[in-house]
Amino acid sequence: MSDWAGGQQAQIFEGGFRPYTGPRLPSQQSFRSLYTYSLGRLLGRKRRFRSKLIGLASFFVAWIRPVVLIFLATLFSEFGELDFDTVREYYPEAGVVLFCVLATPLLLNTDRSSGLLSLYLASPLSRRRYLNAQASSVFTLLFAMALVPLLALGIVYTAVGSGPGHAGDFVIFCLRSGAGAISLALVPTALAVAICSLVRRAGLAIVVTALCLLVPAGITGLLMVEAGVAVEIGVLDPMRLSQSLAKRSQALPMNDTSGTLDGMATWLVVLANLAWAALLSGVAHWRYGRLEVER
Amino acid sequence: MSGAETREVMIAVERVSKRFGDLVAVSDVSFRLGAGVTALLGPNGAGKSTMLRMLSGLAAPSEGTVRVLGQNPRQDIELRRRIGLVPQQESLFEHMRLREFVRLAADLSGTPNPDTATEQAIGTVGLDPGDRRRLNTYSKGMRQRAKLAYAIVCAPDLLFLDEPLTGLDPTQRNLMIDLFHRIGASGRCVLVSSHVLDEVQRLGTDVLVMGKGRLLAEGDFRRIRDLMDDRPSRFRITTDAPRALAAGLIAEGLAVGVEIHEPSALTVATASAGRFAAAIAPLARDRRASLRELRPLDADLESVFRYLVEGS
Repeated sequence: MSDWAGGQQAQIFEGGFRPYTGPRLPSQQSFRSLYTYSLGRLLGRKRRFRSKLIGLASFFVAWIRPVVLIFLATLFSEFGELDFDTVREYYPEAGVVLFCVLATPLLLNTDRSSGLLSLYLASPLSRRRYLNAQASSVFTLLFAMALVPLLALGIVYTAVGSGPGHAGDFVIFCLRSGAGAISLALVPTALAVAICSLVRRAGLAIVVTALCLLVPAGITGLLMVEAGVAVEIGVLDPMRLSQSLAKRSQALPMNDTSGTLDGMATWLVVLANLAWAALLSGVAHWRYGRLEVER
Repeated sequence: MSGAETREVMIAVERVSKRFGDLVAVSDVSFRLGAGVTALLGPNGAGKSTMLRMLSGLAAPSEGTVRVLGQNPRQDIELRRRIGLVPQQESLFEHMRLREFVRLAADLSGTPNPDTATEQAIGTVGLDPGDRRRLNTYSKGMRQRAKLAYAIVCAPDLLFLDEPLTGLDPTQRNLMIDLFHRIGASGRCVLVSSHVLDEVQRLGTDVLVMGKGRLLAEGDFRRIRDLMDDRPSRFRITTDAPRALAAGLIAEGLAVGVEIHEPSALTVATASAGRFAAAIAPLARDRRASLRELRPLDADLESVFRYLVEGS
């Protein structure tokens, strides 16, 4: 407590405005902050139950089958060796589509309509960094959605004696699964982000994203089966391209089923995936570079 | 200018225009600002928000240059952490709690001790850092203060506020205006847009007046009024001899119009307010008129605004 000195000059200790004057972290911090915040937002963290529904529903759709498989594996392992090859190419395409379609517009279009984008861009966050942070948060969750079931299946099947025989095989399986999860998450994320950058309203973005992920599969499949068009037409189908690359990452023999992309050369599948990702990412960055922040 | 003649220039806007397709939102605007509080005044649609967005780096000018602290706010990312923006819209982070909302701004701006900065900013605007309610349950006035806390948590050198006093009750409004003055007095540049004249008048005397996308005037509004040579200044005089005084004013060429309100008042229109002010007391003495009150009728901001924006 300070001594009171009568007659000395008066002092005001609390002026009402106390600015922070400490040091600052590098501006890359803004990317990490937005990325972390958006992850929580996509999962509905610290929000009402309805905000968690999209995440819960997507992960439920994605993980219900592996959960059942794990349950069956632990239950019936004593009756003989289980076929690991039938489960190692499991990738949750339905969950990925559901999450991409519903969650990405929730993130990007809501920011634009509510005016959050202006607050973000008024912070040390460039448009490129903003877009990368948002896309990374979507990609991370899709990656986890695809990878976790495979790893869980690998661990359980190995534990019951039906999985990879050696530690080295298990590591290779994990690496292949990781590559597959990246393949499955990359193009759908880029597609959803690109559409959300082009379309202003969240509702319209949801519809367009769903159409762009699902309709090309129907059209190209029909052309291949009914019109006998070469399998290379599949390069126009971004969703099935990413699925095909994810499955190929496990190096299992292709079935070459009619109407699928199994007959397409792997180099072409890889190239087409990279081309789609680059194109869609370029579109999103181009659009955000020119976006007028109206609110 | 407002401020920059005697203070360091913090904002320099040179011949800036902004078009949205065929719509010209801002047209050929130039001004300079230094530290302190400046009001950006104009009716709705005058281009105030567009100007604030260009100053914040959210929008690029179609023509001209915007420099904030000597840098281009559109390109210099590091500069943005020295700018605080309070946008006009309400639907921000509705599902967040106050602390989470302000903390996000502290994180985005790279504050190493975000908790401390968050508490300080929330306390500064008179809200409770421990409030667990979500922002969508806040009153409009509380949301305005939450947005202000968001803007000041990074201790910006420049604070741009778009209609920040809307929805505040008189007590809150006084507190906020007092806070703006404190921030301005600490060497920061505070630019507050408003279309409400009463608010602007209390923010200080430095104004930028915009209308239809153009900068109509800048500086101390009282000086602006003095510069309106083509518009007579009006005074109301209360006296015991209004007719004698009116005759004297006309005879001396001090009044271009006089209206007598019997029994004890008159309204005078004069082309030269300075000459009138110097001559009125001697004239009253000569005419044996006792001056009880001499009040300018159109030296306030409202008159300046009406003249500039509405031409009336």
